[in-house]
Amino acid sequence: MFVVAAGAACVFGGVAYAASTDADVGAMVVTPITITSSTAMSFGKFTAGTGGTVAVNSSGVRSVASGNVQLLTGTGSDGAAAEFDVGGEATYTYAITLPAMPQTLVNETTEGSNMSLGTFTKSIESGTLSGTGTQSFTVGATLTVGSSQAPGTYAGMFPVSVEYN
Amino acid sequence: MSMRHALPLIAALGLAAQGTLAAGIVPLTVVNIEPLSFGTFAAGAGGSVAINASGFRSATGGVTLIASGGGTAARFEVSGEPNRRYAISLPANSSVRLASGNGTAMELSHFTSVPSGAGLLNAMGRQTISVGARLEVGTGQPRAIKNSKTNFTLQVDYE
Repeated sequence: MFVVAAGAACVFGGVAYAASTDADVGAMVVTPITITSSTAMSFGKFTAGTGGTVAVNSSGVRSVASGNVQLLTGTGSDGAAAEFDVGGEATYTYAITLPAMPQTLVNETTEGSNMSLGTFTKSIESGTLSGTGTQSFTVGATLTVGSSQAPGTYAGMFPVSVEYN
Repeated sequence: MSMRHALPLIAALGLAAQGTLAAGIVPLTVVNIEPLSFGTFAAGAGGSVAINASGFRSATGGVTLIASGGGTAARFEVSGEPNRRYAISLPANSSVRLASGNGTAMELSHFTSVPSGAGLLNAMGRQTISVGARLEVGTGQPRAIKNSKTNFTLQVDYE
């Protein structure tokens, strides 16, 4: 009598018809990036002459880029670059987006006249947050002054956005 | 007096074993080769982050994905009988939670896989499974000091 039956039973024992394994799951939650304006851009005081363009660079220095606009100097006449404070995850890098389209400054003293603000520049090409998750940068631009630009205080706003890389 | 010609017990077992192994079933095994990662993101006003089985990442609500922050679908290698079908079992919604620093645990749901539901081992007895899922992110989910980690179980069964 062969013992095939017993042998077969031994061989078939212990074969896996099911299996399972674990996989790790991960996620990294970081501080959202924020930007606030701390200093407004200013072109200070000037006379329009026969018009032209006035630039403020990212260091806040004014210059007459074209035409014969006359810059006034002295206390209260100077220009300023806009300054922004960025906050977020320490050491992270981010892109800075300046307006691509010109922005409008509106005469608040006498209704009815505008000036166009464009060619925005920035003090840094792109950002890197410090070890405490902060960084500041400045922005300049160029203002177009018309030949009969009405006197007054002109004001407006422009958007700047930041985004993690 | 007749003579009994019977092989010794051990030799008989040896012959039987050879014959039976040739008809034996290849065990089903599964190993994990890639973890599931939702990558880096800022929670903002909350929402969700999803990784599909192709590894494509998307977000809803106020969650901002960090573009360079990756994310991967989980991948597993299954091996067993050539050309055999097997069932794939994924975790139920809300059964897996990802703790995040001192914040609320984030629940995983909507596990999906490719292949979905069941797979078919190829002529070499192999197949790769990719798994994605969705992560619920609470409002103002605080940043984690280090990567949050948990794990989930994938089960496969011959049909």
